[in-house]
Amino acid sequence: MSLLSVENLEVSYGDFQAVRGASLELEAGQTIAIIGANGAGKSTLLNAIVGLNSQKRGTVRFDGQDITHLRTDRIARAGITMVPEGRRLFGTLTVEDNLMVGLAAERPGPWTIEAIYQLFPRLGELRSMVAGSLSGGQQQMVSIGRALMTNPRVLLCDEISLGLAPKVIGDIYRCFDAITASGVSVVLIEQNVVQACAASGYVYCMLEGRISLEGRPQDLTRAEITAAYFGTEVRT
Amino acid sequence: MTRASISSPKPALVAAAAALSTICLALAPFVVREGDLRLMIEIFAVFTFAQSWNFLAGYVGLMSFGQQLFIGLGAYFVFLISGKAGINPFLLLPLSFVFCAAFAAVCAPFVFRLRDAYFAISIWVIAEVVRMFISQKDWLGSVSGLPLVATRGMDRTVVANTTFYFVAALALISVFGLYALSRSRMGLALAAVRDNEGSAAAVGINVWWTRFFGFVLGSGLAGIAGATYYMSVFHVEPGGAFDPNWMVIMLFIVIIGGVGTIEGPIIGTTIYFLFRAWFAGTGNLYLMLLGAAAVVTMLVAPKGIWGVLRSRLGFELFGTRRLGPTNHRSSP
Repeated sequence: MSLLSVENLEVSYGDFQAVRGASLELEAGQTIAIIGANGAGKSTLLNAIVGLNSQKRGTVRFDGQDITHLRTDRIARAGITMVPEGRRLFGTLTVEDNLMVGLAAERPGPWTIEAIYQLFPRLGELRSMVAGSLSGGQQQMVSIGRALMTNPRVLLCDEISLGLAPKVIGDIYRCFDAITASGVSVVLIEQNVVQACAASGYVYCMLEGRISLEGRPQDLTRAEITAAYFGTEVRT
Repeated sequence: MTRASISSPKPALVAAAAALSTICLALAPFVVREGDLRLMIEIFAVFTFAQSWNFLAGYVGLMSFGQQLFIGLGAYFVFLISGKAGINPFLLLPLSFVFCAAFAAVCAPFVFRLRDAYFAISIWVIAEVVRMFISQKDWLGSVSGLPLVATRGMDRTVVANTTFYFVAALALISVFGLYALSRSRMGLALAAVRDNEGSAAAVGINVWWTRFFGFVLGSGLAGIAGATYYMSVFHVEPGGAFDPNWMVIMLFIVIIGGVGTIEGPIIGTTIYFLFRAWFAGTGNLYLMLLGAAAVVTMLVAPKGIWGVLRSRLGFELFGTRRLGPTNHRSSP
């Protein structure tokens, strides 16, 4: 049985249906990626999983339990949290306070303040800085650290490479080895196909609210991915 | 220049300051003349009003334009019950906190459905409804209000001193209690919800209850301060108790001083009473000066006088670690 399974999820904003029946599976310890162009419905799908979007149909199961209509904070306490797109830090709080907020989930585990500072030594130096004053890469580290402080079983990451320099992206992705080694299962949302394929064991491609392609990165050809990503025909 | 890192004194130092100011205020009635004591009661009451609104706007992220609702409700609660049942009104003061907090709790499920400006105005509307209701009921004294009959048999000095001690305690609570709260886990949760409710929920914070707690607490504080203030003037009438002008004074004090800080309303209250002492005789000009001062502050220093001082000095008196809001809903 999968740790997290999404069955036929449909999500709407008023009249607009952003996700039109998407299904995916995440096994314990696995890292999967959801790729797709802007507006494909990736973020909407992620927000719906953690309950930030209420207009939805279908089922989300976590560890065998139906969590489709659970409130966001309950889902976090159950063990699913996210690193939101655009980081969404508590801008007026210090780095350390941002991390401390993660204790609200009341989930003990390996991820403590010290463990976060070990993962991102730079944050230790910046601990008393106001989060809003940090650079984009540093803010992304705070956002990931804050999510890890809840000791999640599933970590949903929404475009963590967005707007960051290639070197910073590399630094951040390197830390995911330690994160997955601690037993966290990860869902990555990426527009960067190369990055997504390198970091994950299974890839879903979304197009116009549907899963247009899925498979292990090594089994997918570049042409297939391109077609599924942009919605063009495969030329053989 | 804004410093990203702000230093602040150790909690032990703040605790010492709390003890020292408690001793000073405990001794005040023995050294201060009765007329000055009366002014101090008013200053501390107005300061607590301002701090209750500052708490809601700056710490909880709830912008209300109806804080006078709780001032009036608290006052009427004490005047009515003490008058009808003959209970010592000082015993009723703590209950006025409970009454106003409970009233806020009943309103919350309705007003929390509204956002931003609609929320702000909804509480003002409730204040007007309550004011008009009281104005039409003879058993509530209608438009001419209620006198404080329960203290008539008591010794004048005892009444004045006890009122002073109550209001001094409220002022201390609204400084040091707020300091303690904002450093607690609840304070961190409040700050997180204020800064970004989606992110707060995503790490396990119950956004609705956190905000509810803040709203109820801030409303109760305004209520008990209102009750204490009107006990010092021995008479309450609906036009004065539910006067939106209370709201204007609170806004002035908090905007001038700096929203979301403990120090700001201390500065704001000082400036407000200095303004009043200097210009109150000038009639309408006084109100225009108040308005002009608030406008200039908003244009020159949107974070208030303390906001400017803090970033210039890189120091704060009450280091809550949770700095005031710049924008309480960050854009995507």
